[in-house]
This record gives sequence, structure tokens and C-alpha cells, in this order.
Amino acid sequence: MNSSGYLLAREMTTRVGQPLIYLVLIISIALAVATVVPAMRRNLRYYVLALFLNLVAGWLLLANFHYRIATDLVLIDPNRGTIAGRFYIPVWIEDEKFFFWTLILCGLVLFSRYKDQVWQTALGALLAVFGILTFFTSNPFAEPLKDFHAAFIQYSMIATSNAEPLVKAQAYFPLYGKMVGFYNSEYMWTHPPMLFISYATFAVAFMGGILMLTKRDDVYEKLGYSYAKAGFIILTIGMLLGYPWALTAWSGEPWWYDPKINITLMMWVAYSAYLHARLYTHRRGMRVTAASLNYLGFFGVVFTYVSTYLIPGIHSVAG
Amino acid sequence: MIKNLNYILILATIVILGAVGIAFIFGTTFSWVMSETDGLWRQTALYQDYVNVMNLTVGPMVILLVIVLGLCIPKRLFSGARLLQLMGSLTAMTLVLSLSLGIRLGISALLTVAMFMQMVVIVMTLVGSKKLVFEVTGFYIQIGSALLHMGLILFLFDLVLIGDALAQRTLHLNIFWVSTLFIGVGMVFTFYSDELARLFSRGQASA
Repeated sequence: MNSSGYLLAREMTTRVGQPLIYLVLIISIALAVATVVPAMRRNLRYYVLALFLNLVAGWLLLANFHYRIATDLVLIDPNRGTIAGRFYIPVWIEDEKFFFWTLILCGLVLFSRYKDQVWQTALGALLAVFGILTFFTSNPFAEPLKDFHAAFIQYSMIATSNAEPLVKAQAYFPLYGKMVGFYNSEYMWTHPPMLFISYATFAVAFMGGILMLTKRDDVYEKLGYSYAKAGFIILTIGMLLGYPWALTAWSGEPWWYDPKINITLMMWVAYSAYLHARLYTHRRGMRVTAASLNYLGFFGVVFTYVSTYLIPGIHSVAG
Repeated sequence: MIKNLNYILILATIVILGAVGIAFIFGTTFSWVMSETDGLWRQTALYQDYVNVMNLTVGPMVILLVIVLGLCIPKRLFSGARLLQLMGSLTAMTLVLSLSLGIRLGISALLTVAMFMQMVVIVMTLVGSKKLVFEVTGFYIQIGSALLHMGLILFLFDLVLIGDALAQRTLHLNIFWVSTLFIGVGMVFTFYSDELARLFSRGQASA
């Protein structure tokens, strides 16, 4: 195993990535200012474009790091002395999650076909908040894949030492289990990204709902709905893909009614109710009901994401 | 009448979904508080009590949702007094079977009848039958709605009757994938019926 190559790649990711994440912060602040200063507003799209290019560059840098993990690191079976496998880790785990969400949101804002200035300004403000939050809460470059790194280094130190076979096996099996059932799982490549893509579309739908309320213009409600329905399809399929994963990964463990699963289902039922209510917005009271459900759904999105870090459970990193 | 019935069923769906959502918020809050009090509470008997309470709370609402879903199906095939008679018969059949043989069998019977009806709806939609009662017009939205409902029925049937016991895990997952396919394709067809109609120039869809 070429762990020195991996360590160099990790260091390079931090060295190049840190200036990039500072640029994300600077552009996001500029974008926030541009949404409130009329003279700067006409350049809004350039800020969004700059942020998008910056985020794409950062994501490619992370993808390169993941590629080096796949090529340089191997897990050795301590009993047979053969290669048990490599780590094919997708670029949306640990601190990369929120970065990925912000990247998708930025893409949606940049490629939004509706060029109305109110709409673009609102989305710009939303994106600025996401960019700033990425810097302060979810910097993936400061310590790239911190948890994976710690787990692998610990395994590597024991595997290359003169430790007893039993000690080596104790270091190997948990990481092997995580490699097969978590890092390399086909569901890891499909379930989380679909959820993050849906979260990004729901953020845009939420802004549509806010604008409908503040500007009293149905066009924003329709725009919000167009994003919500796309997000709902992706969310539903993404959630369904999590089910067979849960059956195998958490077999025998009490995962049903886990806090994160509860709140995810709450979010799903809120959006499902919103889409049902929206069919009858011409009826009295249904417009307000639909709008409220849209807000409740997005509250669910935020709480679902935050709950991973806040509420201990099987689907959580808290506690 | 069909429009009012649709509206009532939609309202019922929203209310039940809202109640389910509140139950999940309760569950999350309770888990959170318990985790703060005792980090290992999931290994205690209290966790099983919590699961039981959640089952008792969410279970009846899911059953109500299944009944509403089951009642949504015949409205495509029947209207007027015959529809009301059929809906009444289906509800009565579900109640009688649930009380005599258990909720699982009662719900499964309702889902089985709904599944057969939905198959008929799908075939009739595909052949362009004019006898179907849809509030919306257009091939893609109608077939999308039919496939989506079929997917939901299959998913629930799979969950209620087959379950994830190891002995039948393969069958459970095979049906799960078929239901996922139906739900996914159904949603795309329902939500993007106008775009699909424009793309393939087959029928004019409008909600």
C-alpha cells in the first residue's frame, strides 16, 4: 500500500482547498452584499458564476483525493495476507455533505431559466447564506475525511506492527465491515446524493413560497412548485433506495423510528401533503394550507440535516 | 359528485399525513430527550416500549391512509351510487376481516382488491378506454397516476403482508424494486405530463 502517496494527496487537498474555501466565503459575502445594494445587483449572476466555478474546482479537488484513496490504499486480510479490498468513497460524506448541497444549489441558481430580478436576488441571498454556512460549519478541506483518515491510520499502524494476529483482526474487521457496507456500498453512491439534490430543490421551492407571500405574485408560487415536484420525485426515490440498505446494514438493530428516520418521514409527508393540497389551491383556504406545508417541509429538510449532528441515533454522528 | 369526492379524499389524505407528521415529530423529540438522559437507552426495554407506542400511534393512521388509498382506486372504474356502494362494501369488508382475522389480513384483502382494480385501470388507460373516470385529461397524467397508485399499493402490500423476514427477503425486495419502479415512473409521468405530451405529441394533458 502506498500510504505516503495518500498522505501527500491529503496534504495537497488541504493546501489547495483552504484558499478555495476562503474564496467561497469572500464570494458569498459579496453575493450577500450584492442582493441588498442595488448598484451591485446587475452583477449578481457573475458572483453566482464565480461561486459555482469555485465550488466545482473544490469538488474536483476532493474527487482527486478520493481517487488517490481508491488507488493508493488497500485493506489487507490479516489471516490470508491478501488484499481484501479498496475504498471507493463517493464525494459526499463527512464534511463534504453540505459542500455538495451548496454546489447543487449553486447550479440550480445559476441555471435557473427565470431571469426576473426579484427571483434572482432572492436565490442569490439564499445561496450566500449557504456559502457562508459551508465555510463556518462544513469545511471539507481543513481535515479531509477526518473520520475515515483516523480509522484507516489506526488500522494501518496495527496492521504494520508486530501485534498479535487477534489484535490485527480486531483492527481489520470493523474497517472491513465499514468498507463493504458503508464506503463502497452501491447505496452510498445513490441514496445520499439524491437526498442532497432534493434538499437543494426544496430550498429553491421554499424561496418561491416566501416570495409568493411577500410579493403576492402567483408566478413565484408556480416556480416554487416546479422545483418542489422535481425534488419530491428525487427525494422519494432516494428514500426508497435507503430501505434495502437499512435492511442489510442495520440487520438486527432497532432502526425503525430512529430520530433521523422519523424526521425524514415527517419531511416526506409534509411535501406529500403540500403536493396534494396544491391540486386544490382554487378552493378556499387551500392556498394558505399549501404554502404552510411548503414551509413546514423545508423546516423538515433543515431539521433532518441538523438532526444528524444533534440527535444521537443509528443514522446519526451525534453522541 | 366525483370532484367533491376527490376533494374529500385529498383533504382526508392531507389530514392523515399531517397527523403522521406530528407523530414523527413526537417520536423524534422523545428520542432526543431520552438520548440526552441515557445515552444507551436504545439497549434498554424502554426503547421497545417507545417502538410499541409509536406503532400504536402511527399504525392506525397508516391503516386509514391505506383505506383512503384503497377507496381512491374504484373511483376510476365506477361513479355515482355504484361507486358509493362499492366503497361502502370495501370498507365493510376491511373492517369485518380486520376484526375477525386480524388487521394485517383485513388490510391485505383491501390491498389485493385494490391491486386487481388498479391493474384493470392500467390496462384500460393503455388501450385508451373512454369508460374510465378521471378528473384530469391526458394520457400521461392518467397513466402516471395509475402507475403511481399501483406502486403505492404494491409497496404497502409488500410491507404489510410479506415483510422483511429473512426467509422471504428476496421476494420482499423483488416486489419492493417493482413498486419503486412504478412509483418513480408514475411520478415522472404525473408531474411532467404536459412536457411528455409535448415531447411525444400524444394527447393533451391538463390538470
